[in-house]
Amino acid sequence: MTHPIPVNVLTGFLGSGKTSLLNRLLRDPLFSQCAVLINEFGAIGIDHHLVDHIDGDVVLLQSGCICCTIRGDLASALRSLFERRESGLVAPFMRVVIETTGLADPVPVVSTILYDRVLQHHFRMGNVVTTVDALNGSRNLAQYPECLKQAAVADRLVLTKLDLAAPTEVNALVQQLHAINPTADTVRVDSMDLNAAQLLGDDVFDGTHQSQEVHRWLEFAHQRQYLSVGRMASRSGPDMDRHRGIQSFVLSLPEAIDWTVFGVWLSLLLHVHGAKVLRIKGLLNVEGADTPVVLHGVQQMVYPPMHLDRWPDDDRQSRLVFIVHGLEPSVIESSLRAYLAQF
Amino acid sequence: MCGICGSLGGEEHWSSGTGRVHTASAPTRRAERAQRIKVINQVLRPTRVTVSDWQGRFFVVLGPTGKQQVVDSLPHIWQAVQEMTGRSIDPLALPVSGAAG
Repeated sequence: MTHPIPVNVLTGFLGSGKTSLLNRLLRDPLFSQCAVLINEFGAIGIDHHLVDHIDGDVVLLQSGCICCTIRGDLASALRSLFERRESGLVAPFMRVVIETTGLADPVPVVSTILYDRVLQHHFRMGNVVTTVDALNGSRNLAQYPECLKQAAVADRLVLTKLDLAAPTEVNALVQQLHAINPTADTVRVDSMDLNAAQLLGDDVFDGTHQSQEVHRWLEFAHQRQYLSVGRMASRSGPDMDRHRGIQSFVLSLPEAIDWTVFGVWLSLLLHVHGAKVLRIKGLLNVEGADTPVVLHGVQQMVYPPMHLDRWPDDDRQSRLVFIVHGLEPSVIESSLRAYLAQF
Repeated sequence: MCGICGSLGGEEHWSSGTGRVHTASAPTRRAERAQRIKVINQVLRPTRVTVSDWQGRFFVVLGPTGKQQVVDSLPHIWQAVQEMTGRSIDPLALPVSGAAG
């Protein structure tokens, strides 16, 4: 069986620099075998990259990437692209990057990759990359729920337009983003450096980077002084209000957990409150398992769990980072503990 | 596909750990499934809805009035329970009332 093709979602609010970032990524030789899905060619300004029209809505770029517009729904566009790849009509691309519109919710895109019965056998999710404009990001996060959601579900937060904002503003925005999404790697893109592999390539589903990525989630949560549920009682309210009810917390469980009970509990939580659980990421110590299990979910969707080869550090506790909207962390913790204790 | 009834197998739900999450307590797919159904029935006890296995691939959800639905995953069980009883089971509404017995 061939390896599924990773799909990156590139999202970000209106004017946050998605297209500029995409243009730079397309020039990186590491990603020359990419297929890019966009809404319309005009928006990306690819004319200077364009080499040839291949077939209908697909064009070949200088870098070797192919670029395709989404006509109709995303699932059809991806299926069509895959069919053309298999029949040799387009180059055998090794990665897909989907650029969303500025007001888009990236979650349905993730859902399509995970649950479409055809696509799920040929594609897998890669990092969700969200651009945030250093000049207007703070205001957009405060005013537009779309912007907040894009930041909350990101694996990589890319700060753009750094030359237009004062360092103090940038630092304040970084703090704000860490409060919204503690596990995302925050990358400052200036005019010179851009590590495309760090943004697109190094993800938790890639065996060679899996352990490193999980370690990074947990380290970020620790470094950013993410409050465990027990310490949240003393937390003041404004932090939460400023982010329209979004808050992050780490739930730690010292005892090994029963996988069956945990699965029943989480599926029930996501069935009832899935829209309010923006992200779950973490590592579980499962009863009877020798190695830790990585759990990773976006709203109602949970990626297939994976075993790591070994623990990334000396801590053997289960640690789950939740990003929730309007749910009380202590209630979530009490509920999980009650289920694990009683069933 | 089942050769007798012609049913197509449902897609594996993430919580179905067999082949992905290895545990000593549920060493086989059948054992894991039996354990899951036991836990689900404990959770559902207050609703008088029960769940049983069908062909190792589907779940039969039996409502308090005798109505049945055949579903293939945990989210569909919770949906069926909601339709049969008119309410959803909120895991955050403590205390847990379906304690093991």
